[in-house]
Amino acid sequence: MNEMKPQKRETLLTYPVKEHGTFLATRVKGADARRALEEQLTAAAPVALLTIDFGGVEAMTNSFVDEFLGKFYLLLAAGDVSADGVRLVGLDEETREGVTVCLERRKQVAVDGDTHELLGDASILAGTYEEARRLGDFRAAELAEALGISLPNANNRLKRLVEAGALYRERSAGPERGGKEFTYRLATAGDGRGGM
Amino acid sequence: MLLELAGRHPLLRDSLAIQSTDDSRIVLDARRLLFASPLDLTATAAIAHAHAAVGAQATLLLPDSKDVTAYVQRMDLLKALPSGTHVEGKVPEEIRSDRSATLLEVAALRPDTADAISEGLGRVATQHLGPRDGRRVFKGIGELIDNAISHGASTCGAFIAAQAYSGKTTGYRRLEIAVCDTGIGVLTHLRRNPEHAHVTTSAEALEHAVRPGVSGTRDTRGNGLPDLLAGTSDTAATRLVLRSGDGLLRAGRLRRAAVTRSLSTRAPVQGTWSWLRVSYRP
Repeated sequence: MNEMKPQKRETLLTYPVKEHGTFLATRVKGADARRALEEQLTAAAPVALLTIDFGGVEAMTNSFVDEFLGKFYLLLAAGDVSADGVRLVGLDEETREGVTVCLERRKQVAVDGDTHELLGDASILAGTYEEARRLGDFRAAELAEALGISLPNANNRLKRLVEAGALYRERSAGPERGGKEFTYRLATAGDGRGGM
Repeated sequence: MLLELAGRHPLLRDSLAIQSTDDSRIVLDARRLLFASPLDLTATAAIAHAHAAVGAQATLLLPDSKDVTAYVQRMDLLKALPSGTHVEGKVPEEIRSDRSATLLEVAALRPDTADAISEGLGRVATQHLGPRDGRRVFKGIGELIDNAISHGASTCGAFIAAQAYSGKTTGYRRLEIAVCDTGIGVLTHLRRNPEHAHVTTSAEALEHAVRPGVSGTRDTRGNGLPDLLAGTSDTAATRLVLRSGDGLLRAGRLRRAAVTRSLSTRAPVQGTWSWLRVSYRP
């Protein structure tokens, strides 16, 4: 494993969805909630870990979830908003199902911070994420070897996990082979080590 | 124009009992109404407001049945009618108690009222049907609310009402909800998306609207009604009736069995009317 640079980003931000209501129905509401989240994220930047807390939410329509969460993850993947790590907590059986359906439709993934599982379009990435959790800090080549897949394949999977805030990446302190190389770690709170 | 509301659930029938008149006013004749459902109430409010918006006066003839009239009053239909509406019939004195656990009175559904209405309906659903089924049913109700807010906007607004039934007479615990908007209707909305420009009738548009991923926008959406039908509950009998323009769609689902049928009617409506009923064995 590589020796990591001291972590600069320590801000932890928790976003309680319940502040917008316990029964959440409309896309208008979802857009309001997303904009408020964007504003808080921008004001608190740089953010090491964003926790989106669904605790206390009784029910949400898939339309609300899509407008709030689906479009938020689009912004995250596009780099329009930034957080080293993003996790969802406080989901129950019903709300988790709605989140999963919406992420699948947009072919997105998100980390369930309570179960440490990937939600959404995770059929391929679930095993990759599990291996990443086992490795801790690692390079793409190490993951490729552990999974028995090609390096480009590993890089593609890692790109999606980074875009979803499941993993954090940074340039290696001293690349042994020169050129661009990244090390990856779980996007976590506090000291930046260990699982979420 | 005269629209007669007679018997039970008159607005769920294939053809509405409409007669043309010489003037522009609308007469809503509920004298022979035997049972007032959320759809009867919200549609009455929507029609009256749509006519008021073009300067036409509405007249409501109250039900002959004192019980039905008392219910119409309790559900705040008279308050929801536009000023200037002429109401004929005797309005009984009202002794009002809090029934917020079992009903939602006729209310204007707008972006600024949708949140409070959603919270209220969520409480009705979970208290009446239990937490698990109530939350699932709310997701369906919420999609109807979202449709009215997102696609049914108009200066006349949309109206919503709901009623929970205990099942003492029918043998089923039920929740009924109706949303009637006075917007552009499903056909016009759908045709805004070039992918659906070939759709020419309201009946066809309604059939498209209950298919996954069909939307009047080009965004990744259009799953509200399919999600409603698929997810209301795995144990409930679900009925959804939509009217828009001259189209009428009936959809039903019981466990994994589902049926959908649409047709063109002789009497078009302005905007979109939605009626949802979920039924559970006690």
